[in-house]
Amino acid sequence: MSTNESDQEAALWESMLTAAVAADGRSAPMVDYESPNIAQSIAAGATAQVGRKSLEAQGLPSPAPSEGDSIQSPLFIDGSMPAPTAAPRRGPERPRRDPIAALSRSGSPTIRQILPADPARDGPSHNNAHSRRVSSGSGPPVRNAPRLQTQANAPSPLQRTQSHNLTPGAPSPALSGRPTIFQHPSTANAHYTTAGQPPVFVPPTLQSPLAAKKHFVQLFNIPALLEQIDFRLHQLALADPDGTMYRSDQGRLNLLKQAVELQDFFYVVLSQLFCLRTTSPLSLPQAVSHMVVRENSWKQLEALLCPNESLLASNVAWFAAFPSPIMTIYSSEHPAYKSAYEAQVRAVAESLIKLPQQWQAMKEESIEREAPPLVQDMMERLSLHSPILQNTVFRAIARFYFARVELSNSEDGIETLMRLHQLDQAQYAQGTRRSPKQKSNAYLAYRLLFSTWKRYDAWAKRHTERQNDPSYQFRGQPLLPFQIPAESLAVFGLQVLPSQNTPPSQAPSGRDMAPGQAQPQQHQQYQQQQHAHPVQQRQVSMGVQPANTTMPQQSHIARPNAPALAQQQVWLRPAMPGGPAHITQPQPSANPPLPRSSRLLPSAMDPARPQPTHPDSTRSALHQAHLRDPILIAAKVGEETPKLYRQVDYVCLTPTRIHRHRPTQSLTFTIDEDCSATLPKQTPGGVGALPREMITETTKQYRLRCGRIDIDTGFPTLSSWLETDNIWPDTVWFNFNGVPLDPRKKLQHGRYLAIDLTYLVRTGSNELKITVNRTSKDTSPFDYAVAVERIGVSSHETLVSKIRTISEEDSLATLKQSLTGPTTTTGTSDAAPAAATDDDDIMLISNSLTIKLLDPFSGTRIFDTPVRGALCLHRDPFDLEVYLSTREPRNRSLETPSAVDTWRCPICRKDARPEMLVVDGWLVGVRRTLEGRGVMGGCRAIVVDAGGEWRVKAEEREGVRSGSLEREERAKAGKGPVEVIELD
Amino acid sequence: MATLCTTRLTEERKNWRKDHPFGFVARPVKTAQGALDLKKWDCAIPGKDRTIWEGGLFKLEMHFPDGKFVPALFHPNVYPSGTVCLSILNEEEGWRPAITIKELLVGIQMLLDEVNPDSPAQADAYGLFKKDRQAYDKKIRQVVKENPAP
Repeated sequence: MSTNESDQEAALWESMLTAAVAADGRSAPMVDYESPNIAQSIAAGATAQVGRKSLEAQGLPSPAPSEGDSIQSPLFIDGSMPAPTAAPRRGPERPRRDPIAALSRSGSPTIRQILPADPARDGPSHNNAHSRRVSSGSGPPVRNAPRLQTQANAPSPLQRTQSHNLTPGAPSPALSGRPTIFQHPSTANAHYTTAGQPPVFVPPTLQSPLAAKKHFVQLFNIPALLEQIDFRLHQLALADPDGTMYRSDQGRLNLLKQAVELQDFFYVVLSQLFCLRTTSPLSLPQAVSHMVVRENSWKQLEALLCPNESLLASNVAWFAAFPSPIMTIYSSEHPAYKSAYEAQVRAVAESLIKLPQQWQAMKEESIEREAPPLVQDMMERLSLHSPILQNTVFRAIARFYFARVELSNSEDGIETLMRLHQLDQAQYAQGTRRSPKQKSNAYLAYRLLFSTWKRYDAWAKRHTERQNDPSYQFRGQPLLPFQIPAESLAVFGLQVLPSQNTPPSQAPSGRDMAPGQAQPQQHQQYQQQQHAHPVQQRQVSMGVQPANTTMPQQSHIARPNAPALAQQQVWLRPAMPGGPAHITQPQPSANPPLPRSSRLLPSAMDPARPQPTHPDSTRSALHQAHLRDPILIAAKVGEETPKLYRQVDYVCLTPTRIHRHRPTQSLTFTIDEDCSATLPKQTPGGVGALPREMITETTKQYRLRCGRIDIDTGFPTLSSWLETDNIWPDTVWFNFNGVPLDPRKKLQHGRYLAIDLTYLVRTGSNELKITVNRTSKDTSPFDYAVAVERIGVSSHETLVSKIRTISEEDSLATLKQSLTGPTTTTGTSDAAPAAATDDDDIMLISNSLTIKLLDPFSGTRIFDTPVRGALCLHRDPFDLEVYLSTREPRNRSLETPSAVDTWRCPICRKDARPEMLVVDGWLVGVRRTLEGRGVMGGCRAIVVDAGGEWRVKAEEREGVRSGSLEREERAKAGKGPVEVIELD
Repeated sequence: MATLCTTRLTEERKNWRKDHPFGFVARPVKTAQGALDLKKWDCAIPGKDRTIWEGGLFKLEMHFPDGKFVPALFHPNVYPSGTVCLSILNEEEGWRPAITIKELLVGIQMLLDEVNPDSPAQADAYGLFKKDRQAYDKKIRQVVKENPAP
């Protein structure tokens, strides 16, 4: 009866499914690390020579991008994009630049100064050869001649102010394609790989105010700016072919280049102001002067971008004049020029002011929850409009908590995390804003990826270490690619079809293992799980991943230091087999065990995981999204929407025991009435939305339930069946009228849910086929029964009008009888058949009976209409209207009919469906009398003696009173406060 | 429904102050504004006399009807999160509206000493309870020492 599913859950589902469809119907993208590369790079990482300056300390908010950045997004190497918005934002107008060609032109006016454009003209028109470009020293709109001259600014090692600083380290294009692995000082295995592939995917510029972006494109000649940057990068590469000395400079240049490509005007302005502050603080615009933006803001920025002191002085000066000298901008005759720039300066100032205020808290929160901030957080708390800087902040924070665990390779993990961040950016750009609940889901997605990476990392490390062990089964095998958990992707709007998951049958099977090794482990692991949560249902049959299985295999050694380009790239590959990404993909059956990204199957190294007491089915039951219950709506009668209640009113297939050793069983039953006429009218929901069903008083629904059966008693009444909890045994499968049924189980849904058969039943004969997968030697208890129930609907009026009343006389008679002890049954009223049976357990030996009159829900007032279930053994009543009103499903609108399995007595939990309710006429009389005496308010319970006389029960105290209550009462009585030691 | 819920909890509060078992604590938490948050109560349960739990006082957060020991308690029926595995605390199982806060807390107090071995919730305590009862008892006495009743 999961009509209780909250609306929020439904919304999340919808968003996920919508995103899946938005992926353009392409075959589902799959994010992987391509297999062979990691194995090799890790193997290589251990022996690789240190070729580069290393980071000072792991986990410092080290200067922005690591080298991985140069790839920008290796995830999208094949260019298949999840969503149209994420398509590279590249104007068709921008010609592809060839670094060699740029080089050959160096010295010639390759570097052009920018000119303020006619705002009326569109950006792209400036970008070709016909646009008005002004070369050095000419062109009226630009007053300063470009100061950048090839020779004058060529970097010289002598000019370096500091050589040991943290470096942003985005590699220059000159290094393209060259594998460079350098060793991390603190963890010998850590490595970075440069792959200078030009970015295939560039996330769209986010959040720069559109107008500003437009101006930027109009005012600046973007290809010219890029040429300038490339030229400087090239010069650095010439001056230092190893690419080790100017990593800070290269990193900054690459960031700036990305910013220009993305039209991230915010970052461009920020970069200029940041360097201007070093070279010529007095010329800073008013909005960022030292009066407005304090020292600590800049310090914090330094921590992110690395200090200017670590750059070549000439480069700092050049940055300070990029995209155009500040004086040129502020003295331009074009008003748009200055105002557009000024607008960005103010945005930058706002963000800079917030940075030191928010940074520490944001960092600590992120470390605590093991999830970096969302784009939305950075926008809300830091006003950080720059996607480039968002990346930097994200990465820096990720490093903080990645560094807290010992990982052999944390940078690749962070890059994988960046993948989600980029999806987040794309979603934010599309206008997605998350509620607090959705935010915490997103944090969980990050956290899930982190924990999955930790497992993957441990496994990869061990796999690498065992390569020299001839007894290692998977020796010489490449590492399996890392898979971002589908749940994490789904939260950021990317749906992954499960087809790529290795089905259990393909996982290393028993024949691959040395039996003596694998079996005990499997057993042990099972025991472990059993140990941790034996109560819970588990799918042991799914197989266990072998961890340390031994089996000699052919031993070709992984090539050390394989082409780095292919290494470490995370592929977004189509689910269709045979794509280029699959060429190196080994057959799954030959693969070493892979730590599962799936939440369902623990890896061999996992400790037993505690199961959630309340699993979040939006995460744990993703695979059963299609089984969600429809939204039920009460159909209007005239203008009114009736209040409808649903209850099981009949069993079409009476509870029938499942035979424990018969592999296939068939149960048939017939439905005489025309069930097509009573089906609810269904309207399909939109994409990913739940279907809606209109319910009327004549609607009938059908469902299958299964419950434990007590062999001795069976199910003598419908009530006894309905009081039995639903359960789906692991070894049983069902097929109804030829359709296989898919049960929803406790592990994923928090409880076992009934299976809806409403649209599967047919008038006439119906067949339920049961398959039991048990060996004939299995002696474990197996006592289950199944039944097909029919659910009827009644309106509030009908329901109330049908409730039976026990007359005052009958009620009193049974009450007296129960107090005097069981005698020969004399006209037992139907009120308490069970009480009248000769059962030792319920024989009352007291000769008086206390009846609580307060309504058990509110606990404050006496009932209006005293009802109880016909099977209830107690006399205590509850109020009819309160009972009915609390049957309404929570979090649903008033037009939703009640749930089905909600009819339990609030006092004893026995079956209290509407048709079981009885009104106690004698208690109606008691109420009348109390009302007449005017003591309704003070009466909580009455005591009845064997003669049928009753009195109001005096309140007795069993425990102690609160000291604070004593004090209050004394204070009210006018006495001064007495010193009392407060105990409660 | 919100009103019914609040009414009931107010009544529970009233009844508790008038009459509650000795040594127990139950009061709604105060929000930042100083108002009472009736949905969430800070509670404390004393170990029962003449059991190995005697002399201890264990703090519990009630978020009706869920109860959670804070910090998590070493007990076979308490999840590592501190959530108590007891039928009357489970809406799907034994909980029913008629149960009062007093009954819930007394029920949990009884659970402390009367472990339900069919419903283990944490591996550590359950393992020790099953394997080595003496060591278990010793560990409980230590837990009691760490959480003494005032």
